[in-house]
Amino acid sequence: MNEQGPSAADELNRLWDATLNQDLAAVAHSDAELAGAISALQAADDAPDPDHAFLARLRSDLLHVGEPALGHAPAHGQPLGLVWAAPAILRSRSFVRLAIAAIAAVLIIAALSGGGRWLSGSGPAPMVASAMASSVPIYPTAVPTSSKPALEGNGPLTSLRTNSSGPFQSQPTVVPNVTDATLRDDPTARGTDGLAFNWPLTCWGRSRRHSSTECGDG
Amino acid sequence: MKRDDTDADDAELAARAVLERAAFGVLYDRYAAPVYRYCYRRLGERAAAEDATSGTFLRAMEALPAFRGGSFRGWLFAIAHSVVVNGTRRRIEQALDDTHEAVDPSASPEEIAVANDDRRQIVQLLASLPEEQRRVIELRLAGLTGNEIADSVGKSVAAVKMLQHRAMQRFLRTLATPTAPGVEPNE
Repeated sequence: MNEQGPSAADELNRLWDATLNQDLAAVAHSDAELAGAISALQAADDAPDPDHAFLARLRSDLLHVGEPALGHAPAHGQPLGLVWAAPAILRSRSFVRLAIAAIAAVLIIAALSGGGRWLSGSGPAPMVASAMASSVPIYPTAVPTSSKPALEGNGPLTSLRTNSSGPFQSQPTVVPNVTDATLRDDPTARGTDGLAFNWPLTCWGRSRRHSSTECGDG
Repeated sequence: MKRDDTDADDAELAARAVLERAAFGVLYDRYAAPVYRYCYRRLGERAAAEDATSGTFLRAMEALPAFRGGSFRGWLFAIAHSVVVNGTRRRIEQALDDTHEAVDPSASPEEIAVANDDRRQIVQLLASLPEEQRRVIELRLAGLTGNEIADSVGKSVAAVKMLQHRAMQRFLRTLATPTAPGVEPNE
């Protein structure tokens, strides 16, 4: 064996690769001493084969360990006999969570609107909740009565008011037009002390507890 | 398991094994025994080698998503080496006491004595090699090629060639002289 230079190292490497690949032709044309040394080294390797029962047990453990922890489905269509229970569980859990969230949202909305309406009869404070939950616009709570229209003529706000088909439709956010006609048009506007109360939602809430006349039906 | 899994190459199986346990099973079938023997050479007893083999494949399965190609066998034996080095290690003399397990029962007592003597000498030689040389030779005995060993130990192929060349020179000198193994003969 040539002990000098990288060529000897290359030769040894080539020979050992040929031995591993069972390339007999390459081995036959190589340094006999070197080939003999490799063979002797491999023959003297006394590491025993593993126990078959151990190998089978370890294989089974490896192929089933941590399966529920896997959070993704196989990328390929066929799972090749693997148990992919975890993704189904995760999908089911996600659906349940979504359903619970949807139910909770519905309950919150119902509580805000229904609860506000229920409590609105106890005073002006619950009106805040009623107003928040209502789709009907809310207007100033007190409107002074007057024998004459506060605004006469053809103001834009007046025209808006005149053209409305109902007491609370198409009204601006400010109600400047305070007239008797306005009060007559508004079935909910009744006042014995000079104030008219436009509480449509309050009347809706009261309708379950008071006579209809209190809400201005008569 | 797909019908052609046993014919698939390591790189393909390793890529699929991230999601398919069956593909990992094929890799396990290929390399469980070589890994076990590699661990046994290092640790010298069956129980320790089995523990190290289990640890090797568990770690390999966990680290498989991080495998970025190259030689899977070299990568796997790098893990095995790490497990062996970091795990509980018995003294190499333990291996000498267990050498009878590999003895051919049909051999005569004289042949057994000679064979045991040769094995003892080689095992002691391996134990006496510098760590890097020993690792390269053990990986050779595990069936890795020069390129795979380079991948496994994280060195260039040229460096691996030189390491195994020096180890083989030492081995040849030891075989040529009747001195105690691991002791450099006077030249």
